[in-house]
Amino acid sequence: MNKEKKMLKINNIHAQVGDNKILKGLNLEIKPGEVHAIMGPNGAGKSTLGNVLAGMDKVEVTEGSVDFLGKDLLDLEIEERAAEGIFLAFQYPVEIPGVNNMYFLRAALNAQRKYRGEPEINSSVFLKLVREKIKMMNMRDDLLRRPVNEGFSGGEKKRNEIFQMSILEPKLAILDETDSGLDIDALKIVADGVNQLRNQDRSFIVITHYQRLLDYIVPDFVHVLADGKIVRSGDKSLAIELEETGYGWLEDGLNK
Amino acid sequence: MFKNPINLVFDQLTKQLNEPSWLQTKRQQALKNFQTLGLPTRKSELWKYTDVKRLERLEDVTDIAEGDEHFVFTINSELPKDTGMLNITEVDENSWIDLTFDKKDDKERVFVELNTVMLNSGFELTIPANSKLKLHIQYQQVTADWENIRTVIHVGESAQLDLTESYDYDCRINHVSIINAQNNSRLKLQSHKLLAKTAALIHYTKINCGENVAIEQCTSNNNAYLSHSIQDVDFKGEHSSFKTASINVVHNSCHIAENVQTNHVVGNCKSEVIKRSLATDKGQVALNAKAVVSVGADGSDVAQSLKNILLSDDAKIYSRPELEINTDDVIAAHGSTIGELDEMSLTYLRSRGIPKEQAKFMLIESFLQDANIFKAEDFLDRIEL
Repeated sequence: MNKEKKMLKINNIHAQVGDNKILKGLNLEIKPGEVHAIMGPNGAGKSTLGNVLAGMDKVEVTEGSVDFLGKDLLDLEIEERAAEGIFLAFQYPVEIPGVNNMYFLRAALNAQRKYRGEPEINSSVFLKLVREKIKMMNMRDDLLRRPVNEGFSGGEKKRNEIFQMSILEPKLAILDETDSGLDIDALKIVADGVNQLRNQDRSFIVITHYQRLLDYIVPDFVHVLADGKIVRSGDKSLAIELEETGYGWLEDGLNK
Repeated sequence: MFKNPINLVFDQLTKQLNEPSWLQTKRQQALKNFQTLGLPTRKSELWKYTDVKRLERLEDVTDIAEGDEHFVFTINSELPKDTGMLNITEVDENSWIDLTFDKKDDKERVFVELNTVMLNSGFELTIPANSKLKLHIQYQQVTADWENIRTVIHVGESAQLDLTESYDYDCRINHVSIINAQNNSRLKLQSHKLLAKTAALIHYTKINCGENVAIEQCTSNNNAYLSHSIQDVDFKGEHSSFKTASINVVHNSCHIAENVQTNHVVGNCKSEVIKRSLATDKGQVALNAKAVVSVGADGSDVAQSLKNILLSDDAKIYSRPELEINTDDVIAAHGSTIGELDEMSLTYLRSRGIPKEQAKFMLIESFLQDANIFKAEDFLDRIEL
């Protein structure tokens, strides 16, 4: 891991959805190659954190800053953030009838390359890339020819997210409860896909409720998010402790 | 035609014509009918959302075909020897088809009368039994006034017709088309109405289906100050099918109205209507899809799917599927939706790096693809999206 450089620095972020204040002064730093797990009870703001970083319109940032590889992330449009290297694996991937998966992915990859001043990838090279990556995700070829996520099972949708990630090769991937709705075999496949993408330059934020996923994607850091802030950080053992103790202790702490 | 009193225009026209007396009589009768009925109003069901006064506000035609020889229509295909082709004013009196409507429908279809009154071009085409014909017909604006065109196509038994029709960009055309599809015939009909924002096209179509006929039709409507079409499809023989799909895209203050009525007079026939429409700026689209299943027409199968997207606050779309079922054993489904581009889908595409405008285009393209029933790769190339 490159311990010197910072990839992401979140500084005192406050964010709301409508009038509902969700993030209340969140701070976090991530270096290249690190995997950070974000855990916490329902409504703590875990998904909102992912949405803030990816630039979802529904979330309004009212205070704070986010530095991503030297750029002001909050100043960028959603598609610019993606092209800079942010990837959000959706908790509920959207079905898009009529838009073929292959066409969509090639359009996405070429749009990102264009943004970065790189030449477009031609169809034969793209096809080779796709074939190689789809094997890795244990996905059926016919899913590529079908409309994006339409008629996919819950597990197929989640695998499709990781498959997209493998094609787009982001610098920072945010997995928003990618484990929800997955059986143990699908969970292993998704985790294998993620682990194959781990390297010293790529970082991950893994948002999850359960320690189970972290058995397969072993994090460098575990953070507990509660009431819009990170209230505790530790290593993987913190996730194991949470599995045993739950979040009841937070209630006491927050009420004090 | 709409700026001067109709009888004056009629007198001027008929004085110049050298045609059989029976046709003059038809014109005069049609003029009487037109004067009795008058122009449609907002009370006319198929004109409810179309302001017929737009016809009076049309700009003058500026784009007229030039050259020594120019025709209202050109057929860009070679006709086989045994194909019968006559100028519409040269047809035999007995083969002239009088279009008659129920009294309640008269006023809706009054432009058919006006077409007969002012008829200045057209043809009758007879495609022999068991033959195959591929045709491309271009309808052109060759005068500064309205072109009134009547086309009649008889498709013989077991014959196959692949017809593509297109219209001049800045036209003023009142077109009446009649298609008689005889038993076991197969028809593939494409119509490109890709028009200027100043253009006007009024189109009435009558399709008669014999037994075991299969018709597929795909129409692209793009803009026009006023484009109004009415299509009546009559199933006269069993085991026939009619599938029609249209793409309607309007900008500025353009107005497109599309009306299709399928009449299941006999049983065991299938009709399917697919319409996909997009309106932006102050554009308007008015859609009516009606299926009438007569008493005893059991085994009929009817489907109507009308989906619409509004891309601006001032755009308007009126969308109405309608079923009139008068018998018991029928499969029928209809649906109509009007909405905006799905924000979540747009966000999802953008979150993968696709710029907003490109993402919108991808969603629009996929929405319209439902109506691309012939799977034409270039189906959106000429449409202003």
